[in-house]
Amino acid sequence: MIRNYLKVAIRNFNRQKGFALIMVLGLALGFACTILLSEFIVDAHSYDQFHAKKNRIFRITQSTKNESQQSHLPFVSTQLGPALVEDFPMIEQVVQMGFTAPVRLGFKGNHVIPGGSETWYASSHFFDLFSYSWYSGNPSTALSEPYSIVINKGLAHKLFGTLDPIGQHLEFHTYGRDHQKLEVTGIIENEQPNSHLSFESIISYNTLESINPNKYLNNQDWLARDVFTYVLLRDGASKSQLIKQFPEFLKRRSGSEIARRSTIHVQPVEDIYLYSDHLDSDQAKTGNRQTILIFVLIALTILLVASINYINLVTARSSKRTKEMGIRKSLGALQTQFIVQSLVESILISILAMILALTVVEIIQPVYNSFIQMDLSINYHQSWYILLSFAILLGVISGIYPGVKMSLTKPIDIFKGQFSLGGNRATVRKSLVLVQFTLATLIVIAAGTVWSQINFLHQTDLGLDKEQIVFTSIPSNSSTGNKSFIEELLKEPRILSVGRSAVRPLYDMHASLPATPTRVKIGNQFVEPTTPLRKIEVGAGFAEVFGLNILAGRTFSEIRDTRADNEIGYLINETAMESIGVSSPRDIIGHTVIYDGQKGKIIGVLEDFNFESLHSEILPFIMVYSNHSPMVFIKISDKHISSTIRVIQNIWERHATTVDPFNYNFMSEFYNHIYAKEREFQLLLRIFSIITIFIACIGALGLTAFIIEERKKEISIRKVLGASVSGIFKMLSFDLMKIVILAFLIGGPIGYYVMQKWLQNFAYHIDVPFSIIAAAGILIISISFCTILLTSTKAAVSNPTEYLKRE
Amino acid sequence: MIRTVNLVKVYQTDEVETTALNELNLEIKEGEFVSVMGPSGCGKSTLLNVLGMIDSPTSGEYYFMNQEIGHLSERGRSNIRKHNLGFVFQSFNLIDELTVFENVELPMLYTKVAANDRKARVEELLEGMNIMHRRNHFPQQLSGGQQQRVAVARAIVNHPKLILADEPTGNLDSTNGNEVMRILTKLNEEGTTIVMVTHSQYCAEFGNRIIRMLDGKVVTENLVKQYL
Repeated sequence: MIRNYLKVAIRNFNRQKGFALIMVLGLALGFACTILLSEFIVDAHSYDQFHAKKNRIFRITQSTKNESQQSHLPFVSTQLGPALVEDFPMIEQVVQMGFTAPVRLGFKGNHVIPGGSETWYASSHFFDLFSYSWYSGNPSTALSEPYSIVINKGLAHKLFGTLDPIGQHLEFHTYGRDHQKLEVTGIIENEQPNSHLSFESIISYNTLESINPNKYLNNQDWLARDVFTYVLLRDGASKSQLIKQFPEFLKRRSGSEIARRSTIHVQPVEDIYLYSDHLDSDQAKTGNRQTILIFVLIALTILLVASINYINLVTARSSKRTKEMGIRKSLGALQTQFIVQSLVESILISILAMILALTVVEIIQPVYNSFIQMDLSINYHQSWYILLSFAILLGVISGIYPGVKMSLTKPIDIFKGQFSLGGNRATVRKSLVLVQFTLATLIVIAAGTVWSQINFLHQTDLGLDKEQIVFTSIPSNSSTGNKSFIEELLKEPRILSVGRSAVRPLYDMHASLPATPTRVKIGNQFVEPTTPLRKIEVGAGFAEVFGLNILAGRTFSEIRDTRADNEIGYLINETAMESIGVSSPRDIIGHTVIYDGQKGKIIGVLEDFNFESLHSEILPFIMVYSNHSPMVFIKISDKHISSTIRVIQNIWERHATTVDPFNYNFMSEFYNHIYAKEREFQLLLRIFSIITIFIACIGALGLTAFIIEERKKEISIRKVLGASVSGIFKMLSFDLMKIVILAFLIGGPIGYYVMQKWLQNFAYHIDVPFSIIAAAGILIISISFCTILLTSTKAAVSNPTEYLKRE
Repeated sequence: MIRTVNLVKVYQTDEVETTALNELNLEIKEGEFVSVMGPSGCGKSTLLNVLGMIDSPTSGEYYFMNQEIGHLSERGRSNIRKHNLGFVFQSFNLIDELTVFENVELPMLYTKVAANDRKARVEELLEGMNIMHRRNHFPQQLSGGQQQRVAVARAIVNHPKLILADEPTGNLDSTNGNEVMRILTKLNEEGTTIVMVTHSQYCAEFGNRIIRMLDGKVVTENLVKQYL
């Protein structure tokens, strides 16, 4: 019997090719979008799934609070790891990981800086815990000895060419150190599954202990934030048991004061990539859960719209199938057999659509990947059955309603031609189209709002100049002194100003800056700011480089602020001034400040500027003069930029005693990088919203076709009686346009509300522009109008006698 | 075989109530060939639909082979229908997407006849109807007479005890009409009971009894010839 159903279905598609094509295309488009979005979602959830012991691996994080601030970081004291393994029998192994700025590795004059923003160091059990695929060497002992290094095949090839790297010694140039030798003890494969840790090389942790014993070996500070620490629990040990014992452990090991201020937490290794938002900072690779959630919602919306489409088109066509159903009923077909027949057809269409969708995905995958800058693909080996079940499931969802409806209809109604799915008024179908267009309205409003918000962020004045600013580190061990390095830079005519800072504006997070209780003497009494002031250490020239406006007083000066007898000078921003309770910048200049126990005077008030991206609001801060800040910011002329960079490099290299590579960045590039992900997201949203409208329009097309079919007789009679083409068109479009307008009236306010909520995530945001809602309305209404126009014109201009003759 | 007692069928639309069958009493014995005549709207087709169990009566009783049908579920009626009844329609009602062979085979799929038996039976019937050479054609590729022969073949493929024919010659020319009447007469002679609705006195006289209906009631019954 199934064969009979298949035969009928295929011959039916063949007879109504256009209709079948629209059905398959709509669904295929929905599938293709869902697959592309799912790749992204699956990829985000694939992080650290490949570790054989993943269920037992946890990263230790630590939250600390003091009077004014609370921080939660994945970095912990170097003391913690060894103490954990000593005190907890349920912990099988501990791995500590440290990181430094990128180091340069060399072999016989061939130098390479491994990729990644840092160099990782890991203790000996690292490869026992984490299942990286190994090429050569012994994973269990590779990181046991100091000065051992494991590299990946690509790096091995760059450094050694065809030579076997195992046992070879690499020169290792690290910040401020003489050359060391590292022995290559292992080689891992280039391609590793997704992990929160990505590296081309990894050095044994005891190398760090040997290079910097004060920091990594003998540091007794339990609140130090130096290393990642991972624990491997024994089989059967429970995480909650471990957590329960942490307070007592911390008290025993570090004393009650630290135990009172600090809490140790554990984070399953699988959660690090997607569930690390609660941490103030992280060195691991992390993803954005909110984006993933939005993608899931878009995927579901598109799928819903596509399957509603299918239902609509099938039901619209059902009147053409009445005869067949009637005959089958008269021959004794049971109710369940109608459901089965409907399911066979819808599953067939769904599978065809899935095949088409996979073909489309395969074709556009390279473009899509380069666009989102990821390497995504479908893993058929693992997911063929998911794709197939998914197609079947959607087939079942789409086919069940027409099937049930058919089976419940009395045979006599079918014979009398009174059968039409959804009844004469087609309430169900109209409701489905209403849902479709409401969803399309929502997506268009969402895409429009995201677009406006991101534009707003781009165009908003940060209060800080970021153009033509190059930043680099102060050359290490500068024998000539930092001062002369800066003086030499300033001699260059194309360098406009130079400033130093310990932190990078727009990059380093505000929350990670230290905040210390401050007291300001106003009149005869000391006042505390309502919010603790964040400390930024800068040198002279910082305000000038970034074009910060000084509202009163002065900025730091090399001469005045380095004099030994001079009182410490502090710069504050407007927000800080307001949090102290003073309204005029002039009134606060010269007031005494006690910050971090050090007495000084407020020498200037800066106009507010955005220290971070516009995701965060401006916090009150206090600037302290320092001529030891490690970063230097150089404002250059906008002419001959590349030759100016070469000049800076020459000066830098003259002052560097080590062979550290000269690295530099442009502030503007840096800033663009912050929004790069958002821009991709914005574009994806726009593409998917267009597709949603398109699919919804196919639905409208189906419904119009149905309405026309139902009213053919009426159209013919009206035309015979003298109705005009435009009159017929008005009559046909009225029904559907009512639905589209209603969808907009429902979708508009919901879209406004939802997007208004989303915008609250930004410290600086627009309100959902009414122009966007209006544009969404005009777009949806006009596109659907054109669709209806296309379909109904044919009916409106057709010769009425053709139909009446048939009647 | 068939007995109806005070059979009533009322169609109700928004404001209009139409009585299609009005306390109709009828008895048809096994082996009879009954022709039903009457003006349009007299309830002929409704009677055929109720007898064919594709419509249920509003009230009254309908006994088919001594079993009361009115209160049976849709599934129960469907079961009786597929094993005992065959339909022939004025407009042939073949499934356009199925070939001649497949159309005739279809009822046997519902009664779960084995594939080999199905093939043999369909071929036997197509041979009998002289349409074997058209077995792989689709209905649209056949003439009206050929289509009706296929429809008759389909109606009898499961050896039904009763054939209900709704103006089977209505869409045919006289040659093809005669051919269909010849087949039906032959089937009746072989023992199949036939109830046929027709407007044609000529066709009606192929039966052994003519029932005339008016306003949902049987008004006269004429015996044409004594059935065997």
